[in-house]
Amino acid sequence: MSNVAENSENLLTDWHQQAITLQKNINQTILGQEHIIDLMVVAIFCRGHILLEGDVGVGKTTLLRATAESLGGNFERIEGTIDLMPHDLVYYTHIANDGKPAVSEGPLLKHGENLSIFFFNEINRARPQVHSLLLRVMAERSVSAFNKTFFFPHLQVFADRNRIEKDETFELPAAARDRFMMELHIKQPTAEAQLKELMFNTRYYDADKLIDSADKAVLPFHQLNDIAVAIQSQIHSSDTIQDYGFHLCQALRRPQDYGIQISDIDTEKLVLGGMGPRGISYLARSARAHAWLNQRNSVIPEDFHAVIRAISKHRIFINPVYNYNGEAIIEELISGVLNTIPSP
Amino acid sequence: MAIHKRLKQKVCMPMFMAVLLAVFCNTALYADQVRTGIVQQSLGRDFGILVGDVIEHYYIVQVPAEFSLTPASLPPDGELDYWLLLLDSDYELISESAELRQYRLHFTFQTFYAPLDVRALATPPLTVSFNTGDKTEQLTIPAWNFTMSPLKEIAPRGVAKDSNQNAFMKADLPPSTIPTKDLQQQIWVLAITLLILAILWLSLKGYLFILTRSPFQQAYHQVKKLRKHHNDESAFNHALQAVHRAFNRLAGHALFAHQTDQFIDKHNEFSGYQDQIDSFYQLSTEALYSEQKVASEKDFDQLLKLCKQLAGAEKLALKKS
Repeated sequence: MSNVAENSENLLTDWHQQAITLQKNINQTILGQEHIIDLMVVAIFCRGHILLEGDVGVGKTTLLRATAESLGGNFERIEGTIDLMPHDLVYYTHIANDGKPAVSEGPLLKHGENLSIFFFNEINRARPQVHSLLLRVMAERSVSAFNKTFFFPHLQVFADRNRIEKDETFELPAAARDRFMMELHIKQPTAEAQLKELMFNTRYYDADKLIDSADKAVLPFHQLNDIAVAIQSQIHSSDTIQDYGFHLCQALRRPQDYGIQISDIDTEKLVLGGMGPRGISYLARSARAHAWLNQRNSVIPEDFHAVIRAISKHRIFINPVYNYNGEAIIEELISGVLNTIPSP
Repeated sequence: MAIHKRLKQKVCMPMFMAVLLAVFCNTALYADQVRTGIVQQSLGRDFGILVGDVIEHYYIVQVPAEFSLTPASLPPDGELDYWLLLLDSDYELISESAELRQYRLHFTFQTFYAPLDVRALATPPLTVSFNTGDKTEQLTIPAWNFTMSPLKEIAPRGVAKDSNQNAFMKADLPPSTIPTKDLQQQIWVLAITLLILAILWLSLKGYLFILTRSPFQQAYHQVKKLRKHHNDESAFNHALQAVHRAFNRLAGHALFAHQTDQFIDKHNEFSGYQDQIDSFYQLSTEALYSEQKVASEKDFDQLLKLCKQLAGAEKLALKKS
């Protein structure tokens, strides 16, 4: 084994411990969201952006804040509102101490290259102009302003939206949703003990105090890009698992070719598009990161099973005639694909 | 008197001769001039014509030699009347001399008149033109009168003993068929022979009861065959695939390592083999996904043993049920 490979393996082992620490730290703050936190950690080690969606008051914002605080680095937050414009993210104007008008850098530019997390709360309340700016920030990790380009190499965008309220909201365009590596649906915990804990334990009454109580910056955020590269290069994916991953993606696009049946649905006309090159690449990357987090050196089908819903659900676009029950149909489609495609 | 008679004879004779000559010359001059007209015609029978019949008329016409037929003057094909169709009209120059030319004209009609009793009808007159450089002459083919007959009787009397009014038309004769009884027998004999041979071949190859075998029995036979090629790297992967297929078939869906608990819950007959099943999935992961396993004959034996055990357990469960 070469020294480089050995160093890389040691690096992965060291980092695995830190990833577990991060996971534990978030789990201590947020109750009953272990699966979502697992997936968020996968996304963090793939350097993918995350969109959280869920009912009102289930802890989306708290979870994202806790994750951002645990990750460390410079953190910025903005609230999505109907009058928010792209320039509000880049600069703001004010009267300076000397009484003259001044222009200062906005939340995106304030920390320069050290910006680690950009947290966009209630993203669907912002206008499409703002979504458009985010497209570039998420895809290229850069933005142009004041006649120059600013780069954010460590940037990860966390966003959330509530799924109940639709008034004065703007649906995220497909291109923007595709740039989020994962779209996670948060539900409230169902276990009685957890609900009682959330109900009666005073620790959970004050979200600010709760987040302050957890450890901060448990990871050196500026090394995350390197470790993400190391994970992708060190975790093995055999020909058999590559075949499996390929057929999973194909079956999601063309279920009729794999004999996947969904009751009362014409699968031939069901899927209009989805799981393009970015989506399939995210699936493979997250499967590798999941394998690493589970202390394996190679990807197995279970890694795909663990991440496929978070990666593919928001990337599958179905025929509008089925939109009345779209979410359930997509869920059924993914289950059908997982039950049908064998490996080996 | 005699002198007068003689004088009369002297004067009258030359006059008579001159008149005769004049008449002769005039007749000869008239005989040289050819008249345009129909010389000969063939029109077929003009009775007993039924709806849909094709009527063909041939005319031989003559014209002075300097005239020639104008092809565009022939009537165009198409409907002449609501019941009469001109299918074709053509011509042919059949003889030519210094004095005259003879053309043969051919008209083909088809009648669609459907009379209920015998009806007299006529084709319309047709005109054909002939011209020289500066003169034109027209020839009219006269109308042709004929009678059309109905296809069936107006007051049906029935056919033979059948007095039914609707049955006065005779049924078509059934076509005579070629006897195929011998051929049928030969085909049956051939088919049965082929079937017997196919069954014999399937039983010799061991495929005869393949569908009735349990999935693990099938996997056992496949692994046994692959064991012979244990030196081939892909043989072990194929053997693992065969066992995976057996699990998938029994589970009714693709079965993965993390689902084995549910599988055993559903198939209690395998509960005693949980460890062996888990070991198989671990072996499969090492070989197919980690690619760290170099298979040996022992690994094939392990697969064969598992297949045998699971097939046995399945058989036992079937007997009990």
